[in-house]
Amino acid sequence: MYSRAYKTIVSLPPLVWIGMFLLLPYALMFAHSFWLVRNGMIVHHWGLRNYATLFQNPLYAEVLFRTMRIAAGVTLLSLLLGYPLAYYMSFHAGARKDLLYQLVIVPLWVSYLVRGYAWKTILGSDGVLNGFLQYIHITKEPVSFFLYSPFAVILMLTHIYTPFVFLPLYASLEHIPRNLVEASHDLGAGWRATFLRVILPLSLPGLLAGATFAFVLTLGDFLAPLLVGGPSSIMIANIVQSLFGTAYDWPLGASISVCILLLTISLLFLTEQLEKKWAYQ
Amino acid sequence: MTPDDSRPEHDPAASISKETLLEIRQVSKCFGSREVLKGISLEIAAGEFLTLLGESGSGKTTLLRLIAGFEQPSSGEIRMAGERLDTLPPYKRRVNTVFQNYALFPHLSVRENVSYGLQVSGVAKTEISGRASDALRMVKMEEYAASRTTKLSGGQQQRVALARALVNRPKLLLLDEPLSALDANLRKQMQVELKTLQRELGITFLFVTHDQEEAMALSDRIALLKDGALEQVGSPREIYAHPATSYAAQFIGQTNLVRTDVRGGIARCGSLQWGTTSSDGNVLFSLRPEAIHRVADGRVPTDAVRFHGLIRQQIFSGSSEQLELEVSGALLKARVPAQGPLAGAHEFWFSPSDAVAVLE
Amino acid sequence: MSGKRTKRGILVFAGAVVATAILLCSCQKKEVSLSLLVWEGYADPSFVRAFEEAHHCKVSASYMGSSDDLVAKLRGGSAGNYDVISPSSDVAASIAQAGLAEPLDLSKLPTYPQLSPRLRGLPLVKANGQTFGVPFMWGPNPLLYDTTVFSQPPDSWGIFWDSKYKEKISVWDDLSTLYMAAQMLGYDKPDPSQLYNLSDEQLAAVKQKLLALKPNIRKIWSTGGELTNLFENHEVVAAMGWPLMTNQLRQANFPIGETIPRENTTGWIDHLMITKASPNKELAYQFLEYMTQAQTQKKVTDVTHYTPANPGAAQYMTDAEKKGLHLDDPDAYMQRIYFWQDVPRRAKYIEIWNEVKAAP
Repeated sequence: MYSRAYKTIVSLPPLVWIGMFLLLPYALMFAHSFWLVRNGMIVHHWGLRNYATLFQNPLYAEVLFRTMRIAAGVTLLSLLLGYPLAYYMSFHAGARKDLLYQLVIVPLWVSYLVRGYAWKTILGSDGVLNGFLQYIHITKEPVSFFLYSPFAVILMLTHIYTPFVFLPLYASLEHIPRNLVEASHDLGAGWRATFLRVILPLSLPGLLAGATFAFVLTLGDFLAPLLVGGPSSIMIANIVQSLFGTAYDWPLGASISVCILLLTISLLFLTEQLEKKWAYQ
Repeated sequence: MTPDDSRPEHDPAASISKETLLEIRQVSKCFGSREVLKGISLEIAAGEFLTLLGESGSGKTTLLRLIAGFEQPSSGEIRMAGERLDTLPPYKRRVNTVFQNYALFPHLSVRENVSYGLQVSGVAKTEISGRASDALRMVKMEEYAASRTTKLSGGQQQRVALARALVNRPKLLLLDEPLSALDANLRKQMQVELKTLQRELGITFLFVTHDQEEAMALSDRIALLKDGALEQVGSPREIYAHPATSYAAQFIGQTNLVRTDVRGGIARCGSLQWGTTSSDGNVLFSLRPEAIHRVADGRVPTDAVRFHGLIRQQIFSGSSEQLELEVSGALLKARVPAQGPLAGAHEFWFSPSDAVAVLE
Repeated sequence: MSGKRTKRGILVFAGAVVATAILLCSCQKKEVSLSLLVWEGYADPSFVRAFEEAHHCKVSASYMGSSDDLVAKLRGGSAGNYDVISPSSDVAASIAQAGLAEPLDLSKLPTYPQLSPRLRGLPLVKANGQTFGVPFMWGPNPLLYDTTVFSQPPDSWGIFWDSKYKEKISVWDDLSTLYMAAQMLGYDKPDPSQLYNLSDEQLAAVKQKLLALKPNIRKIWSTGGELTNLFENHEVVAAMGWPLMTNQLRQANFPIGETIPRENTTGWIDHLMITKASPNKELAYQFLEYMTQAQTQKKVTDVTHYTPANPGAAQYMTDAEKKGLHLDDPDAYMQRIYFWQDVPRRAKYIEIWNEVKAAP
């Protein structure tokens, strides 16, 4: 038995940490969302005016829905790229597994900004892609929608978040006992049936975790629209950024943040329930 | 009786009456530079219960996996009912496997597990339901049909795994140490059930185990593997009575290995000597402990080899006593009927026909 | 018992933390040091070192990322950590009005009368008859254009709307773009300060004007480096930018032109202020005096390429430098620049700007 004093002392630092860097900021954000800005100063008048603004001006809902559409697109593309890769690596890569794994992981060590600039170099009017297309005479003029467009935002975010989708997916595929796959083959199921009936259902928790990563991270992204987005690619985090920054309207920014937080929490809650339901081992 | 050092390859009773189902011809398997199977040839008759017996690393599971199709042979071929088997992917072989750890699908119920093979083969739904129920009844698991397999005990999972394989009516059932995860009592019970099931269904069983007692209890024939090669193939009685090698003699049952010098049809070891058909030279004999008797216990045949032994140790085991005898410097194990404590020097005998010449 | 011990432990721990904090603070205060929170380039060693040597002190600078960063830090309660700040004209007024800056005793700043009278006359940093900041550096938001596309300088912001330049225009992610559209609509007539006090109807019209511009916008830039890249990579041919970028692009041998169109443009002016909470006010006065002296201003210009508030700096420049910074005729140049002012309805402006950016 540990003494109560020992327990208290051991649990104190994490509690303080959680309190100071998690609960307190959230509480402040929550409180701010009910306050107002008057004459450039935040005044502590409690009210729902910020939330009313959010619902009255269609700007916020529109941008939020657009952000969710982008997030859904990024999630889907990341899955379409990440799943086959994880599947191939886990079941068919053999000795190349470790090398491929490193190749997937390495981009995570490259700064987000560097990757953004790399995409600019590739997609720009004078970029590698346009240069190539003109060289082989597929296009005459530079294709402008490659860069500074929603396409570029989705492409860059997909590139960035595919490893986040890949990792939990790969982990869950690696966790599937290989004798289950053998058992399935043994019972007469080919690779397709084995995938649909055994591998896919057993990888659902990883798939869900990966999808949640991609969706939630995209939901909060503001750099990709700044770096490669077009004049209309603004996302909800850019609005929050401008409200906390240029506009000095922390209360309105906080109210959007609260909405996003609630959205994210309910999403995480939902996926956790599903993951529990789908976790068999 | 005459001493016999021949090495019978087949149990005549098992192989004559039935046709060959599976034929393994010169099959080798290498993993990198390591050769785990060295030119195995073996035939399995339809309806036979054949056990691959060997220590871990002997290649018995690899051979099973080659037959199931999870591995490809490096050379040689496998035929089933005359057709090439080794060129087919596992899902096209009429072979089913009971895996060592059962490999039940954790996301499916007991019934769904059992129906799996029928579903992926496109069997009609109405038929699936009936056959799955029959299979579950056969292994006495019908009341667990709706359960998750993860909730079942080891023995129950074992039965489901068996039902899942048998429901497909395979020509050949492969069992990879299916009982090794069960405790001793349950294992004994499952052995009886397995044997009964095999007799009733008439399906050919290829059973892998490292447990020689289990192999002896269940098998029509045993194929003893050592370091990727077949050491001896035969019925349990045959191998026990006429082990071909010292390894077979030691692995199946207990034995005394007696090194002798044979000259002119006479084997000599210290003060002991007996007639043999072995040719001249250094010959190893296997002598089972129960073949050694006490002269005082009954009639001694005329051709018996008699000798004096000093009792070094005595272990009482119910119906018999195990003795450790010192005979002209060597130690021999003997098993004699229980008769209370013994000590000192006694006279013993064995029949020359019980001393079986074995290869090293 | 254990509870008591815990309390004592916590007390000891807390005591240690407080003691360490006090120690650290007192260490910091021992050396006379001046803390700046200024734009990058405003604390370059090329001119700050001389001040440090002359006054036997240490100047430590933090750089602000944006005007809002500065406001946030000052309002966030860390005002006491900084002695001197350099707000731009957009937030200077609100800092002065919020009482975050010290009203200046101009008699302590002998150089003040030498500064551009036009800049000194702006109402930005004045409140209740007091002055809260000294003009430091300034610049316009000119129209930048690729001279390979425009052989003559464009004479109107109106070319931004020309369908010839579809997806070839860039504007600043800033309210300045809003002001520019308002100028196009003539809202700067007769009183330019109207730009900073637009009515709802006028803002709605500005929004429509900017929505009509969107098809031509390739990218809304937010950092200086980004705009120079846009030109260099031939993504855009004209943009609203800063003189700094003109300089950088010229150094990179890019054919860039800079002009102020006939509608005029907005511009910014950075002031130096002393924070209300500054513990080193005397030293801070000396720093303000030093930084506005003609010779220092020339050195700041060398680093930043902004135009100095002290026209006297021109005497240390070559004719080309003077012309580049428009110091050959600063008054005529300043005529064409509407310096940013406080926008009372900043949130509304930003909402409109966000709506423009969010529109499909």
